Amino acid sequence: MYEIRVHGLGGQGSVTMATWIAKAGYATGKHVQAFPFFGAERRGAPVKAFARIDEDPINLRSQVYDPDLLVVTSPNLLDAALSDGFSEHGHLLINCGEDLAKRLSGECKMDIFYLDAISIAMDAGLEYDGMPMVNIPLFSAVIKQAEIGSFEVVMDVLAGPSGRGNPDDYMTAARKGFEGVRVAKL
Amino acid sequence: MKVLETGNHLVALAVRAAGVEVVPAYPITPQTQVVEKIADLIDQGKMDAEYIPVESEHSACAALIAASLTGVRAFSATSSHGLAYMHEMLHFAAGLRTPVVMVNVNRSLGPGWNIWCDHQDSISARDTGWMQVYVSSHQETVDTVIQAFRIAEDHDVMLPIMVNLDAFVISHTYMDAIVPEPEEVSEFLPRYRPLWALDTRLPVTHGSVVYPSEFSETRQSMQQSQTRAIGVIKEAATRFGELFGRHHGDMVDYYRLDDAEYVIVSMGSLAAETMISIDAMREKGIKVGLLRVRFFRPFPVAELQELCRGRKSILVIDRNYSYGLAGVLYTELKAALYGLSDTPVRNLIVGLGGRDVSNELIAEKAMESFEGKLGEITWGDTQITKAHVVTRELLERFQELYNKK
Amino acid sequence: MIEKDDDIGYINSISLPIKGCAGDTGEWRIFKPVKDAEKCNECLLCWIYCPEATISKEGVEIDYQYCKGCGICAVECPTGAITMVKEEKR
Repeated sequence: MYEIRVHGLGGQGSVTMATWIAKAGYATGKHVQAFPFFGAERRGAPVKAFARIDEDPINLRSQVYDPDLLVVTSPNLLDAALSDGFSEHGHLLINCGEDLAKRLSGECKMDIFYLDAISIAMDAGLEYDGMPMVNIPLFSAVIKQAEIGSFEVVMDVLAGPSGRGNPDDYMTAARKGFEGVRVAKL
Repeated sequence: MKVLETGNHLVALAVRAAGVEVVPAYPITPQTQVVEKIADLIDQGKMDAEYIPVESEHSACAALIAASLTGVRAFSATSSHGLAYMHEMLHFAAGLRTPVVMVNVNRSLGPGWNIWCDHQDSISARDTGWMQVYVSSHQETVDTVIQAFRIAEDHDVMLPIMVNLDAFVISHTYMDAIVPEPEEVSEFLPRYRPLWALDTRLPVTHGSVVYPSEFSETRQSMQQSQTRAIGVIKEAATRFGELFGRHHGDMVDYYRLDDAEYVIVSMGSLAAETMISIDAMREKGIKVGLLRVRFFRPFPVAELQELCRGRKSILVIDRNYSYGLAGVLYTELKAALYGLSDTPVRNLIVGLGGRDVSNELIAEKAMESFEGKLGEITWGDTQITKAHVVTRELLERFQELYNKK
Repeated sequence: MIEKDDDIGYINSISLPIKGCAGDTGEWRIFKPVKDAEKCNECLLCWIYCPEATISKEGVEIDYQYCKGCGICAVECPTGAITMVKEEKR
């Protein structure tokens, strides 16, 4: 079983991203599960979402406390994210630039992947009500780093009903996320 | 058709497959997606039904009853405060013998304001005459909604069913499940044939005055139908299994119970999580099994008596509480077993207001209970700290305020 | 009923209307409103519209500990005195 926990801010699309991850796993023939934990349901408030992918039907119903991949969509959520539990054998994917990622790799017990998803989303013109749609590049990065599928899987999932923004911009941002995610090394 | 959907959307798809004709409903978190999806399906021409947006849950249930009395298959969905608000009409639905199906997405009742899962809402509606079933997985949600119509509409039963599924854990969680098409369901669930329906050719009044001389008879008849429903529930589960190849238990479901010395009893999604606990405890050599109560009304008295016989210890997990006594499944199980054995039965209260319950916690508390380390009733996941408490300082400030007058 | 000296008494869902009772909502920001004092005419529309009440009536100052960066003030400001800039965190 592969388990993912996402920490985001309301409006960034973290819950949607967890469902995309499940859809990607589902597209490769696996059993999947994706669910949110809603807090105050206010724009900008901290949000958690979870995804599980397994060969067998999933009986777990609880939240994910030792994720294989911990996704943090904003650096100031990192402390809260770590306090909710992490696995030292797991990885961290964080939305930030290279400098911060390198600093974190010294402090953090996990291997770190990083991606400046805000810049990618804004360069692609993907903004919704003043919120950069960081979930698209980050989703793409998750699919690559968690080895859930190829970029074709990312395209298939994002080609489904979306509603917000231009599909070509989605693909541009997704491509940059897939190719731009890096491992942070000191 | 295999799909990846939320539990709520699966309910809507199952309702479509069941050929429901009228859906009066009022949205409430965490049920909203159910009625949104049904409204969408009707709007897109994928479902031939009448959707009635009403002004309250009380009206939703009233319209549900009225629709059913005209002889059509009717469905609604609600949750928590919505269920509480329609409480009066719940008694009407059962008392008028309308075989309606309603999904209740299990959510706590406030205050404190809370939208998350526990079973307090449906347990508080226990004595309305409705049948109640609790599901533990997405696939079971789909299959149970379809089975529910067959059970309710059976002429030996003619009582409403509440299908209970856990808020967020099932309602908002995406999982893969198989949804049959309406054509595939029609053999299992033929068109509803009412015993009586409102018809101008033979006009009748429903719900007229019943004097003390006849009232008890109407109630005894409801109990007789509940008793007959047990056979209908079992037959429906078996027939569904034959046609679709899926069986989720009937009155109860169980896991690794055959040679179990210890038994954990629970309902809803906690039971699925408990299966992981059982596996972990079995690996340590503890002979433990799960007994999942699927139908809570009618209560599976005979099944529980049979399956609890000869065990060393039983732990009942409740996600509800009857204030002044104990968890409700616990007290009812004890009543069912009264006088039959000396097996200790204990009660664990966890997961109220959506607190996450991990398989590790269940295994830990179950071990403590089986070793006799826990009292009769244990609140398994509470940690009362000063931050929770109305402080002495605040109370003194109020006293000061009153003294000023 | 409350006999003991410590604070163990009733547990209730009371919350006091104190500043910051929803936590440091400033942590939620991705964009930060910045006021240009030259353009501000102190009309106080931002003060009225701010959903978190983080703008002061006197001096039109933004309390960044609680400003969640929603940008409503920038939209409502008739003189364009408030601009949203990307937050630099940590």
